[in-house]
Amino acid sequence: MNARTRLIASIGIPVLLILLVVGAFLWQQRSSAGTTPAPAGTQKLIPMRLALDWTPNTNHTGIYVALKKGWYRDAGIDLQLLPYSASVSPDVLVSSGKADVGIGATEGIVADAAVSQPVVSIAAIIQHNTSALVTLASSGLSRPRDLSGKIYGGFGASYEPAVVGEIIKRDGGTGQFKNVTLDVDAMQALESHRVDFAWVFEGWEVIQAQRAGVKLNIFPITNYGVADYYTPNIIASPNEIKQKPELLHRFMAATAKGYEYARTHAQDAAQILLNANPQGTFPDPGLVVASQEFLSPRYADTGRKWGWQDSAAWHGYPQFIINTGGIVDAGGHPVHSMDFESLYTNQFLP
Amino acid sequence: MEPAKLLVQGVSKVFRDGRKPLDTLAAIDLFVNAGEFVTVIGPSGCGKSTLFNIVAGVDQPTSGIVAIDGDAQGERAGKSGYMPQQPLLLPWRTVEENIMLGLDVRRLPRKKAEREAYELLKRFGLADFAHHYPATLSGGMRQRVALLRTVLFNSSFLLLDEPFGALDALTRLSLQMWLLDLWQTFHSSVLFITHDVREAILLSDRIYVLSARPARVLRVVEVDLPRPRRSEQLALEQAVRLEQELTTLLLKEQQS
Amino acid sequence: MKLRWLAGYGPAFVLGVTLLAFWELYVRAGQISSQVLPSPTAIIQALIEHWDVISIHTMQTLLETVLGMAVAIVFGLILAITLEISRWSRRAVYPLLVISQTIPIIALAPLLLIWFGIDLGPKVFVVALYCFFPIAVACADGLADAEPELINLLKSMHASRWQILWLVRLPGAMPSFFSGLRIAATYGVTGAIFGEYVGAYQGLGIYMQLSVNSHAIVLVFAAILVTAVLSLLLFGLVSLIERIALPWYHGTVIERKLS
Repeated sequence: MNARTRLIASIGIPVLLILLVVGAFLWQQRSSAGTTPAPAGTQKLIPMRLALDWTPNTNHTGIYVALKKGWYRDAGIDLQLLPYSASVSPDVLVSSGKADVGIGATEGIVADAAVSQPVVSIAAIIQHNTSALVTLASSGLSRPRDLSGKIYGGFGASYEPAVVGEIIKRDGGTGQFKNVTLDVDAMQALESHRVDFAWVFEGWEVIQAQRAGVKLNIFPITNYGVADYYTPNIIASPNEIKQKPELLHRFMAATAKGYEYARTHAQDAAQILLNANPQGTFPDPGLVVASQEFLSPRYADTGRKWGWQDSAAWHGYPQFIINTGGIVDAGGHPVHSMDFESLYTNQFLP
Repeated sequence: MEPAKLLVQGVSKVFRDGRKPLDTLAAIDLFVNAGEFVTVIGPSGCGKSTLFNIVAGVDQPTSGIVAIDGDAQGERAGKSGYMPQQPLLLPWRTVEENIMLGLDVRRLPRKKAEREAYELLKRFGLADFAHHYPATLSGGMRQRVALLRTVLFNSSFLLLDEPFGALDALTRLSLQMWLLDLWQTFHSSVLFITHDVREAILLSDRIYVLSARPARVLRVVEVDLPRPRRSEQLALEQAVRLEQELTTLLLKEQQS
Repeated sequence: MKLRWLAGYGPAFVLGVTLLAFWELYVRAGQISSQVLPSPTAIIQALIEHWDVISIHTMQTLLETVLGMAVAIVFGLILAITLEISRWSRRAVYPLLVISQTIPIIALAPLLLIWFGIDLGPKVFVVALYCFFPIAVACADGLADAEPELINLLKSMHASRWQILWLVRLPGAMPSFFSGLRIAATYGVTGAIFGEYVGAYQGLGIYMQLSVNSHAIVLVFAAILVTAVLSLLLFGLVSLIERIALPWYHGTVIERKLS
């Protein structure tokens, strides 16, 4: 093989390989068909993008239901779900205009307002807070005051220690504990005894643990002096609200319909969630069903419509975390007050 | 009368790289006529390679004239077949491709260059090695390949810088004969550097003896031995006398 | 020759099998929860069971890796040549190159998302970012390494700067280029996965995230296994191409080893 042939081969083989990979990829994409719904007939739909806050779970069910039932399409909306990104929060996507709406949390909304990149909560997905601190039943830590001096596996929020400390103090403990910021799944850390307690959601991790036969002691945070607040929320940017109120109305109408349906048809809704995502998203379908059955009645209180937010929930907890000094402005200085009424609105709810 | 192949007049070279300027060459005068074999000998480090770089067009003289084929103004690079001390064969090219290197620089079409290279290899008995890589060759073979590369690029004027210095005595002898054969075939003009007096006497028509740094021409001698040269001629009385004379001269320069 | 080549890998094979055996026994003996560290057999089983899903994510990540590396190679080569040609650019650009490698993805991610979106863009960018550096540096060093005497020889032939680059410097820099490429190939797949963390619909990184969130740790390990195999394949491919492109290099190296 002379020099010329060698040169051609060394460039040709990689190029061939790239073409092969691209070809195989495209062929696979076509044959796997996918679960993306085919676009509607000839109507002109307005595209809307929704940024998810996590991998698909039962907090999102109403949206998937509305998608499947074509209620967004009927409202003239082509809704696209943006997948969860570990490095970029929905808040950033929404405030930068990359997404029209997103899923957010009260803590995030308060923090965003402090650094002058506000987003507004336009609906509460779950009516009451379902967070809880948990310990392994085998640890013998059977009430919050036992957690004094123990190891907490958290997510690294600046106000976390204050909130957790408050819970322990309410039950009579000292409120001191060791705070570890985890990169791994909190339940994993708990089960391997690396941490003594963690913050989880009753609608997901707790059910997951129950299904796996892991016995837990559960301390819902609202039982221990933490003001009730909404989480998760549907968020939109102030810009979006100013410029596209009509679109948001239609969006919320379809979304509310989806959640109302999920409220009363837990099984069916769970199935829709399962089917809407590619295989492998939910290795344990039973968990989805169980979680949905827990959550469905909690989307809204009986007799109330889904999504409505009360002012009390927007004053109590946000003030609490601000008081911890953990909410900072763009320069890094703690803020001491905020106009809470601007953080939420019910104007788009049907 | 046709102009000398190479004319060097009053060439000096001062290097100003470091803090102190380095006087390397001081007013060198020499010439090579068409078809002549001229050798330059001198003590080590006297600047012979610097002179070569200047003639080859790689470096410029601080003062003086260098004319190839009577042209003192034009670009000297490309006008000589320059062979530095190391064979410098490209390891990624076969023997045949290495020989073609000069023709590639001249942008000759591939097929033509290949044909010329192969012809040359055949003529000088190296056709069997055409597709070998340099790594598989002996030292003597590599020098031969380098010489062929030089000749293929420019057979009319050769600059050879101690090409046989690193070889053992027997290989050196066979290569010297091989070089003379090459020289006669192409009627080249050759400027040759060596520190080996016997080699100079064996190969050349004329010898320039350079002094130690800064180098100038100490002596020019004609070598009056009959052609074609044979190594036995080195035992002749005139050859021996010449050898002694030159060696003494060189020793003196070396020591000073 | 084949037998000797295989025999060369014998010790590695034995070591590998031994480690796997210990691993398997460690988990089976209940020394560690299979929720934290599954056994090798469980991983292989899960991989086979879920292959239809995993293969889709694998193709995505492979595509991102391959495209990113292609960009890295082209950009790295051009950069190396630029650094070689201009002494000034060397001093100006080198520190920037080093800095480019120290930017954590976490800082870059929001920018990438906003500029490139969620499609192939950010992943190809991340792969290219982390792969171009070893290629560029190794190649630049190789280009600068050319023997000065050889350059002189080419100059005496009246070769232009570009001819010297094409005939001597570039081919001479190929062994260095390939060693840089080998390093890049090792990081390529991992880079693609990091890029997926910026945001993606599918890919091995996303698959691992999904599996972690669903507590299916065995699937995480299955994805890791696929990642490892892909990296090995890429590495092997680079070595193969090197063998084809530089037979002379290996000829001498092997001769020296055997003599």
